[in-house]
Amino acid sequence: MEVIRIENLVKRYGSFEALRGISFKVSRGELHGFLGPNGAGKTTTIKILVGLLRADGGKAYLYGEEVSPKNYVIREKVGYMPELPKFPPWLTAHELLDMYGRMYGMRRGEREERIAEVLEFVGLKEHASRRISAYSKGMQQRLGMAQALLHNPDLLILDEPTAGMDPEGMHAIREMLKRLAEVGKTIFLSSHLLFEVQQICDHVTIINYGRILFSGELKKLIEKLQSKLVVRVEVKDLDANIVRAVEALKGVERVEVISSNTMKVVFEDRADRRDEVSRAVYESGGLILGMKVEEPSLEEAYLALVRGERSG
Amino acid sequence: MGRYTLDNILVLTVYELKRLYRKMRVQVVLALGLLPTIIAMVVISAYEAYLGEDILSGETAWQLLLGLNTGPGTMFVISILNFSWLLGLLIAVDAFSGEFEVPTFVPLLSKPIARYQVAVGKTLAASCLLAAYYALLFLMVIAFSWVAAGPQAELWLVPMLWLAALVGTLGISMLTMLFSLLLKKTTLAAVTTFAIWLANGIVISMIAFALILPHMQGGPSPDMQAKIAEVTKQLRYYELASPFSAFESLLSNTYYFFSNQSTLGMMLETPFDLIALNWLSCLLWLALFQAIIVYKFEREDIKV
Repeated sequence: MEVIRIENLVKRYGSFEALRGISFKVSRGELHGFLGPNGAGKTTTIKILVGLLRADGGKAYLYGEEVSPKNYVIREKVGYMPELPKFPPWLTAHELLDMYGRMYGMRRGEREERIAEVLEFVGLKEHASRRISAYSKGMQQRLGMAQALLHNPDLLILDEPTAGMDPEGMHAIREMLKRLAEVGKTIFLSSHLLFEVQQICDHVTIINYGRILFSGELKKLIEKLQSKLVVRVEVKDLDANIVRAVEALKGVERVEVISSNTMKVVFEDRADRRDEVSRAVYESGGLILGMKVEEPSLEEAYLALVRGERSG
Repeated sequence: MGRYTLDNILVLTVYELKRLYRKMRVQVVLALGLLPTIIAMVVISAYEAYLGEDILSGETAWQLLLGLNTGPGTMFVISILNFSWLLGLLIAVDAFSGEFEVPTFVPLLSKPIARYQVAVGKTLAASCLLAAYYALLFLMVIAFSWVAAGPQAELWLVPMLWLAALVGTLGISMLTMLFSLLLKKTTLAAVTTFAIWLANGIVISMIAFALILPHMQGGPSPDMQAKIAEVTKQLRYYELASPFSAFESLLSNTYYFFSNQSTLGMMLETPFDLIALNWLSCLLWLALFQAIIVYKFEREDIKV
């Protein structure tokens, strides 16, 4: 089931075209990373989805219903955490969540129960009665996560949830996301942290200059960009003879010696020739301790796409 | 009416009232509105004790104290009713701009609420605060007058005067709220409202002068006073075209229409068509301001 569907979405700010007819979809249960450089159009897309911005063209759907600032009922199904959220500083966390809970139609008892649960989940239970004006940036981020989770939505839209946080706070948010993924939430996550996205997400959409560069399974993106086979070989007593023997193999583009017993063999194509490497090392008097095909990281795939777009 | 519509409006009204209270607006409005009257009451009491005679007397002393009817004794009264536009401005000046500046609209408007509900909530909160303030002011003044000048009469006027004061000030609040939404900067909204209030006063004075001047040429004549009275009467109709003037004159016109009291020694005759037109124009202006606020807010892109 499609939870999010974006069709030819266009958004202009004056003469600047922030979104140039983007399309992609997110299915139920996906942990979907939304990546792109600053100003690529990530926050604009998210704000259209949650009814904060109006699209100039195309359509966006949540659970099959077209979104717009006026269609407010559909937002009951979404938990949204804005980038660097700011909440009314004159309220306490409890007052804020109680007010939001009423907007989701939650009864008093249910609200009290959920407020305690989500504040416990984000580690703010002790600060529930403090005014938000006294909260640090990290605490406001946590509160942002708490208010997104309050009504226990199936879909979470998180815009840079770790932006501006210290390493401890980032770790805490990452752990929360992992726990949410475990309970089957659909998470649509905009982030700059590629390592984080690679750890958590199974699907990604990459956007740049308001255009979609890729949208689909993360492993397909990596496969698509992996045009050359790269094998990391660990050899006992690695020497120049062994390196030369491997370099002489047909289809080997280059060999990089990484350490005293490790070399990286880059082939000209994706054909698996590990048996030939094994034979060449053995015949040169070497002993293989380990061999592993290297997968490119999301970072490499992302950079290849974004740089390709810039140069293209 | 969507699901939770009334509940949402109630929640948003309480939210706005809490904002006004926590940002000290309630306290400032009450202090600014009630303190001058309290001071006037203290001064009158002290002066009466010093002179040993009653300054504040009569069955309609409460009207005198409110500054509705000017006469002996009102020299002590600094009536806040003359500054109602300032209270209206104070309540509403950051209603929208404050939330754009923090910016707290991003999480709020991503919730399942309609934007018109937010706008209506803000109007209702301003109405509640003004209603409470004027109720307190009237009660306080009547109680003091009762103690100082004996049993008070014409109290049947109070609900109508309370409503007129409320609608008049709410109009200024909503005009300020509109600038707060359009300009998105609190200081700019305050300066603009003040400038328009000032410009309105100047324009009305200039029109009055232009209308009266022809009748003053050629020196005093027997019918000059009658002509000036006629022009003044016309002017009271013309000024209803300006929202500021319509809101500001609503309380006094309502008072003049219903009360038999004189002001500055003369009756300001207020015919039914004038008071009807005044109320109608105020209600239309209120509806128009609310409609523009809702229309504009629903089309606003919440960028930050």
